Amino acid sequence: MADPFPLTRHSAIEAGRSPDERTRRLGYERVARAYWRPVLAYLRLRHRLARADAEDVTQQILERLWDRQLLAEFRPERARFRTFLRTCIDHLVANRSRDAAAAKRGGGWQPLAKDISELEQLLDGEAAPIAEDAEALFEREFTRTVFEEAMRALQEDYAARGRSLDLEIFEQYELENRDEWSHQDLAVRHGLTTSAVTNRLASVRRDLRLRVLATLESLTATEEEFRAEAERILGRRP
Amino acid sequence: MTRLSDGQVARLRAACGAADELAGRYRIERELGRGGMGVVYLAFDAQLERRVAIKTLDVAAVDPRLAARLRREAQLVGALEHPGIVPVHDLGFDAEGTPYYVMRYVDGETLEASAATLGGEAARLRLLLRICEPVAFAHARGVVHRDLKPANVMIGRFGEVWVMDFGLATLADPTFAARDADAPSATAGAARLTEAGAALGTPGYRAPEQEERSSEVTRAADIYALGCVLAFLLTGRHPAQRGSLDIASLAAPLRAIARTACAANPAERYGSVTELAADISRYVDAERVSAYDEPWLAGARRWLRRHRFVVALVATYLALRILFALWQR
Repeated sequence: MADPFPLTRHSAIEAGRSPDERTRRLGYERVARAYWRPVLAYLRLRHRLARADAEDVTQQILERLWDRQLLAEFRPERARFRTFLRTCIDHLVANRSRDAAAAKRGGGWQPLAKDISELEQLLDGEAAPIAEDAEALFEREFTRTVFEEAMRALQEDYAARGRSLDLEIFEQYELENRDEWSHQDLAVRHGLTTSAVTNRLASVRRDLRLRVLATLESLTATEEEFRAEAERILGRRP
Repeated sequence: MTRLSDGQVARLRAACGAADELAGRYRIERELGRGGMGVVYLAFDAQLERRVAIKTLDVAAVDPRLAARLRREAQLVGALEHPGIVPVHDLGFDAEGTPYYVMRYVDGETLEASAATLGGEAARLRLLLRICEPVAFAHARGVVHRDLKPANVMIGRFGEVWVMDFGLATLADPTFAARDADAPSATAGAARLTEAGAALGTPGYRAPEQEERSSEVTRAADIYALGCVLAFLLTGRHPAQRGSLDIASLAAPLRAIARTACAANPAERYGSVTELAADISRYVDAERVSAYDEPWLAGARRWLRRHRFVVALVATYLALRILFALWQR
C-alpha cells in the first residue's frame, strides 16, 4: 500500500534528540508539556505514590529527560515512545532513594506550572479508578492532552482568522450537553441558517481532526507509532 | 482551555472520527493552503492508493454563489487537458452539500518560493516559455486565467511546470467553446464565474482593464501578467503596483518585451501568448526581437554573437592569409 504520509516529520521527540541545544530544548519542553499529566496519573495509580511524591517524581522524570539527554537514548525502532517513558518511570521509582540527592540539582530545567486539581479529585475521590489499569489511565490522560492541545491550537488559529464564532458554535454543540442544542437552535441563536451551522460544524470537525493528527505527529517518534496512535484515538488508521 | 472531561473527549473523538473522509474514499490528511474563499487539502485516495489534492470552500465563505463558482472552476479546469495544467480527477459534494474537487497532488514549490534557485537568465527564460505553453493552450480553448503570478506556478521536484489555481478563470469568448467540437458542454456553462465589475487578480500582476472594467478582461490580461512574471523571474522583485516594472537592469530587448507585454492599452500588447513566447525564444537564440527597434550597431553585435563560431573561423582564416602574405614578401 502506498504511503499516504510524508517522510518528513515534525516530531518533538526528534527535536529532543537534536544536536542543536535550542532545538533540543524546544523538543523537551513540548514533550514535557504533553506528558506531565499522563506521567503523574501513572505514578499515582501504578506506583501508589502520594500526591506530593508523585509530583516530585514527575518533576524528576522531566528533569532527567533533559539532564541526562534520555531522549537521545530512545530507539524508535525498538519501542513506542510511551513504552520507553513508562520504563523510565518504573526505573526511576525503583531507584528513587538512591537518586534522591541527584533530583535536587537544577540543570536549567524550569518546573512546569501544573494545575492538577481536577486530576487529583479524580484520583482521590470516592470514584477513584482504583481498579483501572495504570497504563489505561496513562493513555486516557495522553488522549485528553492531545485534544486539549488541538483545541488550543484551533482557538488561536480561528481567532487569527476571524472564525471564533465557528468554534463557539462547535463548543456549544460538541462540548455542552448535545441534547440541548440542535443545528436549528444554534442557527436561531447565532442568526444563521441551519445549513450554515451544519457547514461550520463540519469544517471545525475537519480542522480539529487535522490538528489532532498534527499534535500526534509531533508527539510520536515514528510513522508506525503515529498511525497506531491515530487509530487508537480516532478509531481508524489515517 | 479548561480541562476536558472524559465525556467531552469522547464526543470530540467521535466528531473527529466522522470527519475524515469524503465520498468514503478521500482521507484528508492536512491543509496545503488557503485562499480567499477556498482551502486545499492533501488527501489520500483509498481506492487508487495515491495522494491527491482536494479543493473545497472555506466554511466561512460558503454561500450558493461560491459553491457554484467552485463547481464551475472544476468543470473548466477539467476541460483543460494539458501537461502544464493540474488535472482534475473528480468533483463531488461532502455530507453537508459543500462541493469539492479532486486534483493531482503536485509535489514541489511555487515559482515564488523557488525563484532564487532557478539558474541564469537563459534558464529562467526557458522556464517562462514553459509557463507560456499551458497559458497559450488555455487561451486556445477560450479560457483566460486572470490571476497569473509566481505563486500560481508550481515547479515540481523534477523540473515539471504547472500553472495552478484557475479560481478566477473565465471564458474570453463563451461561444468559442460551443464551436469547439471537443469542448465539453460544462465549459460553456462556466462562461461567467465571477461577478461583473469586481476587481479580480493580484495587485501588481493585474492588468489595468482588470481593475477598471473586469467584464472586458480578455487574453491580453494574461499576457500582461506574463510580462510581470518575466520581470519577476529576471529581477527577483514583484511589481509594486501597476506599470511600475523595475527592469532597468535588463538588456534592452528584454525591457522591450516586458514593456510590450505590459502595455497599458491591451491593443498594444502582444497579440497572443504565442507571439510573446516567440519573442522570448528569439532573444534566447540571439535573434532579432520583434518588440525591440534595434539600432544597427546593436544588431551587428547580436549578429556577431549569434554567429561567433563562423566569425571566429573566418577571422582566423583571414589572419592566417595575411600572415602568409607578409611572410612571402
